[in-house]
Amino acid sequence: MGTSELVLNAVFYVLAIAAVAGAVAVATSKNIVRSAFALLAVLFSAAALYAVMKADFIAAAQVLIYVGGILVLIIFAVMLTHRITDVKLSNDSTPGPAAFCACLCLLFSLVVVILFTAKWQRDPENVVVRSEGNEITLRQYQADGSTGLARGGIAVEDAVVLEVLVPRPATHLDLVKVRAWSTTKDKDGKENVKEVTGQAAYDQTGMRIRLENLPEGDWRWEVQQVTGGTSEASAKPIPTSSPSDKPDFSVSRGITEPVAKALAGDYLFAFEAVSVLLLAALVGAAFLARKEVRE
Amino acid sequence: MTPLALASGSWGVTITGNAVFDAFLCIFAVCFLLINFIAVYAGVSTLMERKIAAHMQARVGPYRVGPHGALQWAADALKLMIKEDVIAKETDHFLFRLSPYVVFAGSFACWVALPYMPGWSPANFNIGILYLLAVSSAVVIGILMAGWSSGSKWALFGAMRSAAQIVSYEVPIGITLLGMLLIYGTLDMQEISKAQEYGLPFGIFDHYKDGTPVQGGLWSWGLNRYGPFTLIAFLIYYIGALAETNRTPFDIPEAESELVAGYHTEYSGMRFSFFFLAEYANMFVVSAIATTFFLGGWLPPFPSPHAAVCSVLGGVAAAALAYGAKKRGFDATLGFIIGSGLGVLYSAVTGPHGDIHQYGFLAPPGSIGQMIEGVFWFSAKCFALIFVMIWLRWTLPRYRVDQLMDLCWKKLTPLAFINLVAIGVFETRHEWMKLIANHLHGGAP
Repeated sequence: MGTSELVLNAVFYVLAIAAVAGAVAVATSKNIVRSAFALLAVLFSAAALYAVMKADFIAAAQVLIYVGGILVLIIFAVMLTHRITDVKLSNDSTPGPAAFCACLCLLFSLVVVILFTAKWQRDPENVVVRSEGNEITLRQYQADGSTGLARGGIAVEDAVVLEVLVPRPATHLDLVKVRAWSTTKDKDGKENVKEVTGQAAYDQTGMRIRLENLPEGDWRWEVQQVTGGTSEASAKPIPTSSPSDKPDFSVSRGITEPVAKALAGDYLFAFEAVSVLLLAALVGAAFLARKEVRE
Repeated sequence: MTPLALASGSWGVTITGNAVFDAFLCIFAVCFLLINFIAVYAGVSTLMERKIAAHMQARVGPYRVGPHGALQWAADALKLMIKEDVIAKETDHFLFRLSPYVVFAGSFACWVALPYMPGWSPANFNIGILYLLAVSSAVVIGILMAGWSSGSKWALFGAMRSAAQIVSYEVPIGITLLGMLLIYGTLDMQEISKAQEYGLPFGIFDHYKDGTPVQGGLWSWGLNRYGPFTLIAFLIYYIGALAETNRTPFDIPEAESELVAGYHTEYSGMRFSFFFLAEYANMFVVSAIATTFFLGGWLPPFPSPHAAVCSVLGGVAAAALAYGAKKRGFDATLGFIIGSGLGVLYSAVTGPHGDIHQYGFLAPPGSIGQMIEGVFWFSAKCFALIFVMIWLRWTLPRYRVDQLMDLCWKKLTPLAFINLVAIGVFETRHEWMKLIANHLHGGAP
């Protein structure tokens, strides 16, 4: 475990303890206003935990909505409610051990559900590489009469590792090069092509090529065969099967874009439906809260 | 993004060789620098505020400490530090002690995400503006905490008013910024600054020269992007920002004549000065956001050296003309501003291209000179906006609570929505013009 990992773990535990301590304060505080303020610690720690898990967008949204919106509303409601601060609102009637056991059961089932259903994926440097299935497309290609498989791996520390497995061909294929490129169109319709190449000597088992510092975007890649030295001119693409228009993988830093794509694309209807529900609640609340005008 | 990856990764500074150590050192250095800058800046701003107020009211203002009272702020700071820290009996001690820090942390956390110079801000967030809007909400909580824990009616009323005001004005501010985000297509503060390098105003003029879009200097800033609408957006943002920082004409949370001093009535000494620091820090933050979104961030107003010359010549000529016609200094200043703007426009349309990577700076890309120029333009714009805030404070009377809410919900919010739609229509003009053209010619869309 590196120092960086160690520090991250320490940060995680500090935040987790802060969140739990805040939650305990919310539950046990005799004064409801202090409970409301203790909620601040919980919500901020939760946001910071999101940030530690590289979900920066979610963290900001958490603070924006829960601290900036909901918590302020709660505090407002508590403060404006007539003499609520004088009432001691602690649930002394509930037997402590029973409540403790119930909470423990709930926590246990939650942990079990998370452990068995969630897919854990760690990518330390915040590079997210996406393609269908978690792996970059398996692609069959032919090189000098023999068939091999080229496949990619997931991002490791700011790099994409592509694995190329080539059964040793008849002719000299001593050097294999991987070229990855991404074409983006800017606002004015101009095409920008970014290109990254990596190469490695081929050995008996295949090879791994690291492509580092890939900029954000949708990427395609191909395997090139280099014959007669390592000069650029001699590199020619090895024909691969089914070259489609779909990008092979995409690189993104941060999660704003995937979140946006999910909200405004895949889950647009659900998102809008929830918005309408909230709007209805808002209108209803305004209706209930308005002053009755007596004739 | 994790703080460690962020610090060591984006700065690439090696001091001890250990990445974690370096990251901590970098974080410490930047925070040390920023906190001290805030302290000095807030002090100097109070002095400026008092001096400007005095001159506007035909007084002299602070004059005793230092030449022309220039060191008054240091004396004030010293006084606040050695003052007794009074905590009244009826207060909730823990929250009372905590709240100044919550307020200050809320405004200080914003400082690390501001784009001070090309290509570098202390924390280069992908989600810049969202982060800024999010962490500044801690200020509201801190104010509510201060008001409630003081156990005093003045403080409670002030806190309620302040929170209601800030939460309300977040709505028009959010909607206007949303409109600007439609144009930039990114939340990254650096990218937003960069995006204002190209284009000429009103959306119609975004013509190309030799296949590349024109660098328009101050004409391509967000403010000028789509004619009147982005200008209205800027005004809505600025009014909202005044309300968010509790500045006059929206200073009802601390209205002296009604509430003594609002939410910090019970505070004294260092704790009081934390509220003070936070208020000035907040003024800088909202000005910096306005600068980044509407005034081109760290971009200089000239697209190229050629434009700088044109601008100065145009400005001087227009100033001379205006002064000749009216014989007043004000008209000459106005003439200079208009003339220099037209000079930049003339140069953008006819003059030679600037270098793409130079952003119109005089220094070459990536050099120290460019950084200094970037910091200069960024802070010059921010301080200009802060000056206007001070100017307004000593010009306008205070709003009433109901007038304030009326302005926010019945005027600014609908206007912001209309503006959002208008900017959206401008932004998608190519698409719908194509659609209309196809429709008129009977073709399939």
